Amino acid sequence: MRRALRSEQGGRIDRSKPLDFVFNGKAMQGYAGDTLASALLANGVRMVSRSFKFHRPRGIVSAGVEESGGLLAVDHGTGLQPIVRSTQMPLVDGLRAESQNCFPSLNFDLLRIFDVTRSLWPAGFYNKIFKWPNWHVYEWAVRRAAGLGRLPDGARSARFCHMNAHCDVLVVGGGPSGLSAALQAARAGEDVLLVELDVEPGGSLLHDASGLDGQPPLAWLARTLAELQATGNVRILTLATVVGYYDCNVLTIHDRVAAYRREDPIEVFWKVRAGRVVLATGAIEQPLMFGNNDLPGIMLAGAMQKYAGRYAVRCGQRVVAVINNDLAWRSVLALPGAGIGLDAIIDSRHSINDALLDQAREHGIDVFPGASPVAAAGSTAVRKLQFRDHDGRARTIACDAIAMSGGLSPTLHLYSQAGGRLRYDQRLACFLPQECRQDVVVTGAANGEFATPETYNIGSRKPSAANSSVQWVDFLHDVTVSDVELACRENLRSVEHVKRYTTTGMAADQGKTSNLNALTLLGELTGRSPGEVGTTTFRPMFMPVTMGAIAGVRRGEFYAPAKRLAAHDWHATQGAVFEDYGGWQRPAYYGSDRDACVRRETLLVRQAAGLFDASPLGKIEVQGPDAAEFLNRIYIHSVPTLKQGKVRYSLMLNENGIIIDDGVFVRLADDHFLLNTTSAGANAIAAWLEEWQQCEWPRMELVINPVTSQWAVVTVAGPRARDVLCSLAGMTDLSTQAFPHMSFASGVFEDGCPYRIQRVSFSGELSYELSVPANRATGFFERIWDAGQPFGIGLFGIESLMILRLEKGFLHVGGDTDTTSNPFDAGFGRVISNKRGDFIGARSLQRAEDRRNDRRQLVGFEVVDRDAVVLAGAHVVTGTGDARRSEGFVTSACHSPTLARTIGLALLERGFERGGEEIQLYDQGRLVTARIVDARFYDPQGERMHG
Amino acid sequence: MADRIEMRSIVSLKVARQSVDRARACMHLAEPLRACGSDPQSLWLGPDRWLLVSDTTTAAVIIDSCQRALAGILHNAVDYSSGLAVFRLAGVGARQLLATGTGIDLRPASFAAGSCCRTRLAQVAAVIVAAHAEVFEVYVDRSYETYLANWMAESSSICFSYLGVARG
Amino acid sequence: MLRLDCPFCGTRDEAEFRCGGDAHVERPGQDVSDATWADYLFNHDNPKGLHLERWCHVFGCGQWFNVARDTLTHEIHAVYYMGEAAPERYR
Repeated sequence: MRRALRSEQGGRIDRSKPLDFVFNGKAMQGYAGDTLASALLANGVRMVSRSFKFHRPRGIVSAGVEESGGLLAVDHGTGLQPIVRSTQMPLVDGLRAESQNCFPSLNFDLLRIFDVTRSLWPAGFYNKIFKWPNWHVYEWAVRRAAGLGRLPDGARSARFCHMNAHCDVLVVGGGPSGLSAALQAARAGEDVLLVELDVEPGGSLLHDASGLDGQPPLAWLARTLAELQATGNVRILTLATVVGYYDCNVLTIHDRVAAYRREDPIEVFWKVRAGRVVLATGAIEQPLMFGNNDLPGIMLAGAMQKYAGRYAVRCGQRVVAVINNDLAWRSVLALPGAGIGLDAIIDSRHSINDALLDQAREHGIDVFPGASPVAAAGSTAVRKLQFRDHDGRARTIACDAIAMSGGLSPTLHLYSQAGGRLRYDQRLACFLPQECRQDVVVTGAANGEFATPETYNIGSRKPSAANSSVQWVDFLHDVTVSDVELACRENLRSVEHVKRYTTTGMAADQGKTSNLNALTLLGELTGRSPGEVGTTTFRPMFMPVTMGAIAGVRRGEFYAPAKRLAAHDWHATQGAVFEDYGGWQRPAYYGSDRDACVRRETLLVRQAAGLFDASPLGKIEVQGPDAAEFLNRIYIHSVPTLKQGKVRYSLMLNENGIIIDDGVFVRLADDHFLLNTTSAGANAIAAWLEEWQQCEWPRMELVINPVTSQWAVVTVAGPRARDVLCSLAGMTDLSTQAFPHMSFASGVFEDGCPYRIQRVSFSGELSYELSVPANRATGFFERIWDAGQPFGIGLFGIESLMILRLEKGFLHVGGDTDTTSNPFDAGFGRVISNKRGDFIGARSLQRAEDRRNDRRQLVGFEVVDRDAVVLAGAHVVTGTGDARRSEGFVTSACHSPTLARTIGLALLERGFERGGEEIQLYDQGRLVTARIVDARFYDPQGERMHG
Repeated sequence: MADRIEMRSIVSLKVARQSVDRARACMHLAEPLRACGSDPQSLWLGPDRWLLVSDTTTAAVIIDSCQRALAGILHNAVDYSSGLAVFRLAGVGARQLLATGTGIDLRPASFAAGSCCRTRLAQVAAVIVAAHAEVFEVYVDRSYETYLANWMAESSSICFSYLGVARG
Repeated sequence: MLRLDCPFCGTRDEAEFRCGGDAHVERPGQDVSDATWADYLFNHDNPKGLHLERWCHVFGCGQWFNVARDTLTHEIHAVYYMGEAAPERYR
């Protein structure tokens, strides 16, 4: 009589809460407490997917993270996600699941042709065939056919965030060992974080009825959880997987407790800093290698027990067990009690514990000791098993499911990531923790405590002797025993080579059910013990983590913090079009038509007066008796000779003599300076100054205080600039006699607003940079705007500023210079020879290489055809055909509204010697003729600036 | 849950490293990782740097008393009231909100009232002060004011929604 | 991710710091040969094991300090102030 696949009673499912779901278009039902896998099994689904390479039928093999067959595309409400482990997916109402990697359907997969032609595709086949004419001819087809799932269209509708945490003890794993460790720490008053990847803590207690030293497991669990709760210093995370273990006891957790709900699903990525770590990560049961051991219906013995005990699911009616250790006996002997017919136990060991044999006899189970499986048979599910009994006779037994066990392998991925070393234990036939320099202990099954050698008695893991059926090592990547043998024949012996050559252990399960078999097999083939073969390197993540969780909120506007001007909103009302400049949102221009606006703004500044927001300019106060001397070592110009109230322009170099920043500096008082840096360099230069003071010259007496953000800066530039500013009550005397070009003054406006003003020009017109406290920025812009109306004032943005300065040939550090440009290249040779005293970069500038006259030197050019378009990056080329080469490149270029022709700057070999020469500029296939001219294109004497 | 504190007077004080001990003898300056005093309250940022803050005294007055107290000691005290944006985070969840953006130990035992820490929050430098139980003040460069306000709104929405599940 | 013990602020995440390479680098006088100058600028040892390096707590107190770190295991053996000599056993 066919028994129901779901028991009437038992399990931790809630039969009062049925849940509807769909699998491959077919409506099915499960219960709250099911996983997708247990629900599928309860609905009699055997084949759930097709394998990666050969498209062989595959079913659910495990009940945990090690799942290799039940990987499906699942939509639980936020969009279809590929490669979801059905064993880890809690069943939710309305869930939709689909098989992957099959076309057109699971039952009829055209790509089954790969299995039929299997011998053409051994390990590394792509290195041996597809060679003529070259791999790329075939690549597109192979890539189409390969792959395990499809990326969904569109973004997922889940939300993500990060969480940082500190704790005294992090316990990984909420099974009996983990709970005990947490309890011990909690009782000692430690701050404990316990992380369990299942929906509730308990681990094996939830399905294994055999008691904990005689106590009923569920009662112990309830008591323990209650006590943990009561201490008040324990946090428990469930549906949370510790995925990475890094240096300094930093671990990461992928938390899905809120990820599967209908309303506002959220995934959280934790970064935990733990005082000490306890790993109670358990052990994973290993498959055995025999023919067709990948057929649906062939499952791990412990998993079958777990489905019965936890989910009340019967995975078969006529089960045959194929095992090699005493622990597996316990698992399979639990099956009859759950209503699962266990027909036979095939054990490769010749002598088996009498107590176990007695139990088998009691249940009427046939036992075949000293027997080895040869091959399973079936098409889309297992129907029978062929094996050899202890006399070597070939036997066959019918079955609808096989429970296999090759023993346990402690889950030590995190331990290894932490730098822990492993040792192979012969008697337990597995790797155990040996030592780790971080503060971590391993407990429970992960530490080999699942059995003693006497209660385990594990037999061999060898594959079946040569037979015609394929024996699988890695189910997920379709790697076979013969692939590993092939690798050895081709002289690949190191476990790292064999892994990469066969791809065993490289799939989405990272070898959780294949690594141990693969390296044991490799050991057999090369005469080494598994310990001598060793394991490959373990790396995070232990389980795959969605990219969304790793990103957290860092998407869109939160990807990189954008800086805003204090008067941002005011600029917006004035029609500013904002763009990113060095991390700042700044007005590029004001209006709608970019070119027209930029042109208009440029001419406005030349003809009347323009208003520009220069607030991001770096401002640093340097004060102290040694301030002048210190700055003299920072700048290439002389600092001590600058008088109070005066402003000087200079460059800063790094120790290699390369220009890193430019700007003006002001002497506020005898021992007090104000530095201006480029906007992009504001923070970097402040840090640069600190570095030199703290590390190299700590005995110099000075303090460095950045004030960049305190001051908003309004630049008023143009022939009417003075008129505009003079109208402000409280403004200092701005006449040329009292306030010539490169002067500084400070004061207070009538309304009490303090200001600083320096007469500095980047546009080449009469220009003032007026600083007011940033909190007053908007009000001040409005004031100047009103004051400037009679003089035709307008706003101008970065784009026109760049044109204005280019028309004057003014340097743009980082644009006209690169990481090879020294002051000689930029035309500052005379400053260097006049400089007295040591400064950063000085020694480098004495090198012959730095003084060569054939270096790329910054020169100006104008195009012969006035309106030809030239872009920065165009190369100056010489020679033709194969002899053509670049002599340099254009660093800035524009069509000058003021001069009505295209001009630019270029870094050109021997540029200083080549004034007047005609050059060819090569840009995207076109050649443009230009002439080298003095870079001071407009107002070369600077009369407008100095007026 | 997060508000702006407007109109706070802030003075940025840097003292020459060689003179820090003398300066501390002349003026009440916070110990490492602490915020102390009031009117002004001093916030420790480093061995040679403090913020002096007040909601009642003007920056000019603070600078003046600073200069008198530290006469003869090399220092630089400037008005920085416009340079920083100040937020107050109060109530249930304030600590968790900060925890989504910073890696410092925010557990009550480690970050009790009076604690002050310059660290990285949501990728930008920030000074976090534990003002009272479950009330925090956060200082960031003013140019990040909009960014951080938006970050707090977004992160608190997600974090509180998650915590509702995790707790219940 | 490393956790570094800033001598002023205590233990913080690596992301708050910037590594400045070799510690104890002495800036040569300005009259050294090109080869010596090149050594100062470009040629550094890259030891497998103990490395003395300098770090700056850029997102914290802004101070530079020295660290004795094992480049293989990332263990931090010692942290000491800028300007101090390395502890005896790490010189």
